[in-house]
Amino acid sequence: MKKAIFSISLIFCVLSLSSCVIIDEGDSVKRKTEAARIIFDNVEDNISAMADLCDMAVKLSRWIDAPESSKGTLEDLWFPDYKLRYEGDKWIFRDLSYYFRTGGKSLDSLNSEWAVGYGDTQSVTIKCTGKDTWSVKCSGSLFTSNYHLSEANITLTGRGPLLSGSGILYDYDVSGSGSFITNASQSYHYAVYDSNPDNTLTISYSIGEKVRFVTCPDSESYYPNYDSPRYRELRASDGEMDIEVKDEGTESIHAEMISYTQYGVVKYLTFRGHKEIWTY
Amino acid sequence: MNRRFLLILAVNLLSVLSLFGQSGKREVDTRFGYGIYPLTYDLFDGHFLGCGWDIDFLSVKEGYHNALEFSGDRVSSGCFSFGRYYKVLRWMDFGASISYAGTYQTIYNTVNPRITRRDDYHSLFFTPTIRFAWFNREYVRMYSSVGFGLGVMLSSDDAGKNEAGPSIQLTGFGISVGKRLYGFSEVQSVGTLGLITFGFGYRFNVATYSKKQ
Repeated sequence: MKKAIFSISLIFCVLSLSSCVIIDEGDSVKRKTEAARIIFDNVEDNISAMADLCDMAVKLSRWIDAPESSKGTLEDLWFPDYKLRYEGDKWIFRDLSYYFRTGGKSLDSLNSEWAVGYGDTQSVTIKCTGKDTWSVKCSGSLFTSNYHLSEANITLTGRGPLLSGSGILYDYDVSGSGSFITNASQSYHYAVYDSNPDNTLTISYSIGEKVRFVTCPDSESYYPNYDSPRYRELRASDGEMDIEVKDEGTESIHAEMISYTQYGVVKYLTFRGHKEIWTY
Repeated sequence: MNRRFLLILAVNLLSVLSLFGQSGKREVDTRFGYGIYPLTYDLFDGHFLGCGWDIDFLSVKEGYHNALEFSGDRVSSGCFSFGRYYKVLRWMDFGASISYAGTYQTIYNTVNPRITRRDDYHSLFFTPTIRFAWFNREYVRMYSSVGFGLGVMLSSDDAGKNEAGPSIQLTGFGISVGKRLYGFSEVQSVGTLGLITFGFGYRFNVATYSKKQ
């Protein structure tokens, strides 16, 4: 009996101790600069949103300055999804939440300044500082994508676009610097701003020379009756920028964009001593 | 909820303790068991079932921190249990089990995978149980059981994740084969002891305490 109990105990222990079950598969191994990619994407979106505002403003200015006979064509070309309205002292695009106050001046006039507003706040100014050159300044703005609280002082210079296609006016060379506090929430259902300091990062960027932002098609925006994408986005395609992330400590990221290809933008990201190539 | 399960636990314990006031011989059943897929509190914290309820995207900070680490497989030890049961009636046993279940996971640093940390959970449960034997022969018994008790889960990574709560085990079908030394298996089960359990046990009779009149 004692031998039987001992044998059964031994077999029981061997069987049970070797029966560990995987209840959740682990992650696949991540790239060393994956965290840097996430931060870079948010910086690119932030700058791209301001460049997009500037692009819309320049197109609006040129549409206002255009002869009446050309306005219809330009409206179809540059604003296919919006209806332009002039209300009080501001221009609005129907279905867009922001508006432009022009002060009665063209954005191609040196030192002319437009204000971009959202609700009761006007936190973005666009000023002509030279031929095809504008400065964009914002302070405490939530205009940018994902409702990050942004500050920026950047200069955009219009260049001949890399890609041809209706609706594209310029690519832009961007220089300057800015920073933003990330939104503490990323709600799928609706955009809200959450300033909970326990769940935010402060990200700042600096462009020493210039980074070219290319107007390129957004591949996820095809509509059934159109051959080309309905929306376009501005993406950093060429140049270098430095990024700092303030978390518990401060991390530095260096981004070097090489070129825009059919597979996406080829870029190098350097993070914690590791440099990796990304194409997307 | 807390008052209710404390009340049920108290009734269970009183029933178990009341056995000691009765006279005669009583069969005692001691068993060691092992269960697969025990229900533990960490299963509802995003490892198994929790993620489906979180429909919001991650914030930038959460995504950034997630990218700085990646996790290995989460492994369950299963549930090791020790139980003692007293036959109150021919068809009913009262008793309790103490059990341990662990889940283990290694978290790797993305930039330097040699840097790791552990994310382990250790769960201990005390589960008073009533067993109903609906087929009783000398060598084969079939039964169902209901257990309700208390448990605690300790995290190796963050003391804030420690939890206490109920322990529940419902068994639809259990079978034991053997007279004194027996093997058993329980299926159609759900609870902290596991979906399927098996093990071995030993039965013996004890003289019970009686007051002299």
